[in-house]
Amino acid sequence: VTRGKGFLLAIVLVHACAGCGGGAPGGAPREVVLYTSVDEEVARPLIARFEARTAGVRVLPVFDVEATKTTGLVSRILAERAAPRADVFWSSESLRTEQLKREGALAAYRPEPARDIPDEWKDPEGFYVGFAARARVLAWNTRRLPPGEAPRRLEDLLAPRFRGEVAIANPLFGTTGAEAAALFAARGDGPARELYERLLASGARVVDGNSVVRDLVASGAVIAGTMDTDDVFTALDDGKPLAFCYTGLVIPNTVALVRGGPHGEAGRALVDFLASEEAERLLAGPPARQMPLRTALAGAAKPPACAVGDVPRLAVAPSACFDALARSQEFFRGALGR
Amino acid sequence: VRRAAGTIAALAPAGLLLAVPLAGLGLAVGTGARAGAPMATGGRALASSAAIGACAAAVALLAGTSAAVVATRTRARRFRRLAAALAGAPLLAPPYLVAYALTDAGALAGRLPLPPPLLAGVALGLSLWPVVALLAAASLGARSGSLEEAALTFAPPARVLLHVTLPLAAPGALAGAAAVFAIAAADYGVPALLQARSLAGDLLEGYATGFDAGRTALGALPAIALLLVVGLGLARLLARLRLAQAPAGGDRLPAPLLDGPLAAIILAPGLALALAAVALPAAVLAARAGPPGAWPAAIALAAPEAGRSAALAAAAAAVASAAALVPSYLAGRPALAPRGARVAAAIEKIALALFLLPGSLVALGVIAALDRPGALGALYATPAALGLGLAARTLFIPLGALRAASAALPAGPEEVALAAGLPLRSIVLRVALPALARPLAAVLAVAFAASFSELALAVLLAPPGFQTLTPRLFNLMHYGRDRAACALGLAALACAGGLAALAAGALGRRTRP
Repeated sequence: VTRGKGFLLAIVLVHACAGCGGGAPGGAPREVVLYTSVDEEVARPLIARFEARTAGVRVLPVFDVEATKTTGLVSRILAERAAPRADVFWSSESLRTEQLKREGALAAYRPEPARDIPDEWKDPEGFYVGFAARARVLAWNTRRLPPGEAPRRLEDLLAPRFRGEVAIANPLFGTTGAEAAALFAARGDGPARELYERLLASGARVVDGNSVVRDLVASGAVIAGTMDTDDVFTALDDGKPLAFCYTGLVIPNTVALVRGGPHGEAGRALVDFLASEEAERLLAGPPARQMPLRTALAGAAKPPACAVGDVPRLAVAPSACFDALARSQEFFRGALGR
Repeated sequence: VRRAAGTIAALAPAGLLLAVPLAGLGLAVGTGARAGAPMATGGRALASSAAIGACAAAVALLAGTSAAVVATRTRARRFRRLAAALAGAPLLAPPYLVAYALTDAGALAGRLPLPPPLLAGVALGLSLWPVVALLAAASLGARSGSLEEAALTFAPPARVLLHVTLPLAAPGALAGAAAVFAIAAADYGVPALLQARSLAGDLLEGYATGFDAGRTALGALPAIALLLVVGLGLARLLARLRLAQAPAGGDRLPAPLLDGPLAAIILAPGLALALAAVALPAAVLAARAGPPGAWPAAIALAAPEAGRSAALAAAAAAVASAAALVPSYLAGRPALAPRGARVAAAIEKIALALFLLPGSLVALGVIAALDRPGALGALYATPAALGLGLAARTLFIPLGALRAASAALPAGPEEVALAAGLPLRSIVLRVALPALARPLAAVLAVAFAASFSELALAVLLAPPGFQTLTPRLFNLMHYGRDRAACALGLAALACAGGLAALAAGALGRRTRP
């Protein structure tokens, strides 16, 4: 009899647990659903700060995994357009936020705290705002490469010295995809395709995400790879033998309100917070050390990060990058057999 | 009629559990076929998954068979105990922790010692070899050892081992190897951590690029077919094993084949691999986790995720075990209700197929079934969808294990209950359940462990704000936050250790007659 009761108790527990968690976004007024492609450990402190400031608004975050960076969440928002579940999209880059805008998945909202962010980082129609940027870098292992042979641009990776010794993240996802689109836009489709075709033909490894590239380069498993500044700074913090140069792309975070999100008011409050000076200051500290876009905060990022103005940038308009995104993605789907 | 209705009602929970993801997959494939071109699932991913599975099966076959032979063919108690302990040890180490340790060891050495798919196979083999050990031991345990005793009168032990004992172990060992192949080939987390391309990874990526369950499921059809072929082969091997296990009677004492040094020699590969599966992750994690004083803070950061994971895994294990109780009992005791036994056997085969599919594909099925307006959509937005996916995917574990345990029960109490006119429900609750308490506890522990460390389902089905521990740990490992990841990994190892000790305790206790 005791065993029977225990078994029944287990079943009751099952049903209780199946309903627990409070994750349902079904209209609860003090919740806000955030889809974010920002690394979890970077996003969590800001979420905690927002929850503390708003005294009771609970953020229900959805993070992605490195293998499907940003693209997965964008696809999810698009798939949910008929009945949106997300209120706010906080992206680690800007091209796919532009894609959401063009697909009609975002609501126009100009957060008041973003007034001192330069206009070049804000969507002219007010659908999203950029803040706290990272830059794309080409990094190499200094133990495996003499100083005189350090690469200075992507083309240098085609040298015989780097055959089978280069890693890049999957260009269908994340900031590597944004970088590829920028190259397609800046150099034209033909030269960009040729660059990537030759890189792949020379045995470049395509892996799941920039952090994996960082680990491969830091361990010496490959000599060089492309990644973001926060990746290289993390490795330098750990004393890894890395050096880097910029590839010419500055990538801001972007935040936007999802059209038809179930918690509009709390969503706007979260957008306000993420576009605020406080958020940029928080992101300028370790481990992210992202570069503030506000001129008043230039140089606030902890070393070895620098200011946005110090990064040499490709002469290409964001809209041209976005237009090139679909073409570059099409190319990589074929080239990578995915 | 009432008895038949009772049987159908008792089988319904397991059927419903399987129906949701399978119906979803069917709907998705239909939608995908109407939508146009399927999402390509590359041949390279299939080949890589096959390499992962084959390597894992080889490692598991080596370690598992040696442990099983020693466990059943020696009278030296210490070796039998050691072999049994070794078979439980890998439960301590979830596969992705072994993979992380291998990556870290490889990074220390400058580069990985094997190509990524083979390394992923080794990591999975190190974690899964108890599957082979248990099934091979079941094969050998069903034989009394008299064949070997006769052979020993004219041949040396090593020759008897090679020509008699190993062929006797073969059905179970091969079934175990096939199971390990299928589980490893369908894994997502370990190949992702080790940068090996995999079918499950391609499915996740394919779905992420378009969030189109239909086209993704359609693209996965060749892989589904391949896995089902493996599953059918496995089912046949298991059926043979079932025959071998059928009450053979007679003396089940182990033959004195492997006493002394020979037992130690045969056990050596299993010992080495079991140590690698537990000691390597523990050592690497402890070395990387920083000063022990900082561990509690790192662990506390993920405490909510750990709590959710534990609650959800407990719920999924309990639901799966409860749903499996009647079908497994009927399948194990076909004389009780022959038609019900046939339906139960079919349910077990379907559950096996679902168990062998990649978690990402099962998740697609759940999404396609539940992500729609109305009550189903409301369910989809809660943790119940993830719990349902986990319970459906792990249903085969209690079905298979409890069926084997039911088959071994003495017939007397059941015959008395039947003669007294007790209905099926009462027989299961009053006769079967007390007798199956011990295997049920073990099954709950194994199903809990499988659900606790499932990654692809958690990534795709967790609702907003309901992140579980595995994705958190996986992301920490991926993002290179070494200290926090390692402290959490150590905590996971400790929890798994406690769980394994509980299961061992439950198995070691005598059940009441």
